[in-house]
Amino acid sequence: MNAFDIFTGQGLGLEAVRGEVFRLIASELPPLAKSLGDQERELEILKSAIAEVAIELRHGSEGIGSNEILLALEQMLLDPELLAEATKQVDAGWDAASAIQLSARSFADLFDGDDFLAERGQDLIGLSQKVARRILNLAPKPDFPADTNIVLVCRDLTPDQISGLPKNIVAVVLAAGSNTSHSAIMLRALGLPTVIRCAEAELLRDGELVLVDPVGNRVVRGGDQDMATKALSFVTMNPEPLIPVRANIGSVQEALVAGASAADGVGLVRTEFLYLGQQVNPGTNQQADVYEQLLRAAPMGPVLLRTIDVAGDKEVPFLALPDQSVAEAAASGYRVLSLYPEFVSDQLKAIEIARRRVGREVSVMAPMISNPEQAREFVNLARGLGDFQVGIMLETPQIAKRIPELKGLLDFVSVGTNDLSHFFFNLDRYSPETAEQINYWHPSFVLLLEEIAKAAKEAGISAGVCGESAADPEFGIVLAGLGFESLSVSVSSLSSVRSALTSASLKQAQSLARLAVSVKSAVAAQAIVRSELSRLGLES
Amino acid sequence: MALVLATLRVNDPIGLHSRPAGLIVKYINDQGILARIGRSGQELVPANSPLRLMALKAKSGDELLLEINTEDQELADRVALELQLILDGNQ
Repeated sequence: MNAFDIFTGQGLGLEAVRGEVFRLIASELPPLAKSLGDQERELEILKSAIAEVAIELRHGSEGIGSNEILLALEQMLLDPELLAEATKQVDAGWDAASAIQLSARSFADLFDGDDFLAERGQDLIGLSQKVARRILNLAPKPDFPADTNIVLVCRDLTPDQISGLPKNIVAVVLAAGSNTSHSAIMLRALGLPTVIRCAEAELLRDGELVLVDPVGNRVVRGGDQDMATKALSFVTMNPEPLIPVRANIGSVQEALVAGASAADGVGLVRTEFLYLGQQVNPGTNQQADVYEQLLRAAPMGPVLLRTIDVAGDKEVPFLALPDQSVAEAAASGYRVLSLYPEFVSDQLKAIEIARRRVGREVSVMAPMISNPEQAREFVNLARGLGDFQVGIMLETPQIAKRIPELKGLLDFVSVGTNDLSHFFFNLDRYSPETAEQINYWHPSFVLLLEEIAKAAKEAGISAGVCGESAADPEFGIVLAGLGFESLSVSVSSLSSVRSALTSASLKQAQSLARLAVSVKSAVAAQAIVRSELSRLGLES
Repeated sequence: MALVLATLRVNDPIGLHSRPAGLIVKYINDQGILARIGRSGQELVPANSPLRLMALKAKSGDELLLEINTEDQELADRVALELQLILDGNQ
């Protein structure tokens, strides 16, 4: 077998690291069994195990700041009714490990029929299995080798598993996983180099040495540090970035982190966090309190809040929104505004209350606007409810072509290249198969962006970019060259994008943008920009 | 001990899902209240059990009976008020 087998996936983090593989395989639970007869003892064992697992959950949640998920699990685990039901099972002759599993299953069965509750049921079954493992001494913490650097390889990891990993785990490789999951967030926060969605990871064997190379989105079997893909580095030529670089945030916690960074304000607040994780329709006052905390924590500069942006009903069950195809979504535009205008009003009212309390300038924008009439509707609504800068996300091709009609109406637009490229290429960015074909470097897409930047300038509307493309440092230079006035990126991308934007001058950025559209393919565009940056001595 | 009854209405569009259930349980435990909740005509469930509360599958618009075990009418009123606020989705 080739010593340098390369397994691809999706990397999280900027550092590459080498270590010994350790495969984590969930130990099978034995079949349910009857006890040896001492029911009092079984109950004692059961209560101890429940208490121990609850303490573990509590410690796990303290490590990463208050973690609602783990606290909710703890509450279910300590539910007196769960124990009461398990006690009945012990009285019926089952041993402690079986009793807790039977009890959990009976509640999970009650939750059937409701998608959301069914998930809680699964969580409960998982917890009961943890308790059963504790009772049966199937150590939930496997015997990790203690004296070497370990690369943990498994199918997936849950947040509570991550919170308990020993210090000599230096990297993680997951066969599954998603880069926006709670687990991914935790792994990034812990600074653990990670590669997820690496299906071939299953082929790795215990003890073998691998290089986990997140920047290269790969795991190299037998690889060493020299094979690590280098993160780009730029030469600083100017004290300030060519155009302001702001932060994209989706929680008060992220606002705090951004506040401690070099971000020039916040270019995107994804306000869904008030509704998604909480699964409750918060009243105006509760929303206002959260917005107030966010505005107080956010870095100096503009703060652009995007009103609630949800697609299907999986995300926010209480807004009954049937799923749509790509084309339908682009055509219908901002459905929440047409179906639930009072919901958007409440949100804007809450933002205004917070704005007054904090006393800083606030901008609001609506997502998924597909025509000037919808834009006008949103602007009228917003201007009537507060003293804001008002704009829209520019993410449907239809509105992108009608910017002149927005003159005099909007203060700004923010280009959402994720959805815009999605619609433009008419491919599903959520499907792993087609997602790779969407490439914002494609010259025809870059030409569309150029059109947008020019039309916005002519209409006197300030235009920025807040999609993932802005977090690509070389593309960020191109965007500045096309005429966009600001970029907004995730906090983890801030320093690399700022660094890129302090290297090139405006003239250089403009000529790089022209180069990017002078070729025929996305790959060629990226290559020619990179080589020119290198030639100019701006990038190594 | 006396049993005080009150009627609560689930107004939150999300219904009685895990977050409001969790808030109710936390309040009941923090205050040390003995209470039960449920639908009229059915067996009431302990208000300190997140699992039983969720199993009610109470939806927006449903009415629930609250039974508080106390001699203190004022306390009972406060508890009913607080739980109603939770079920309004305002907490």
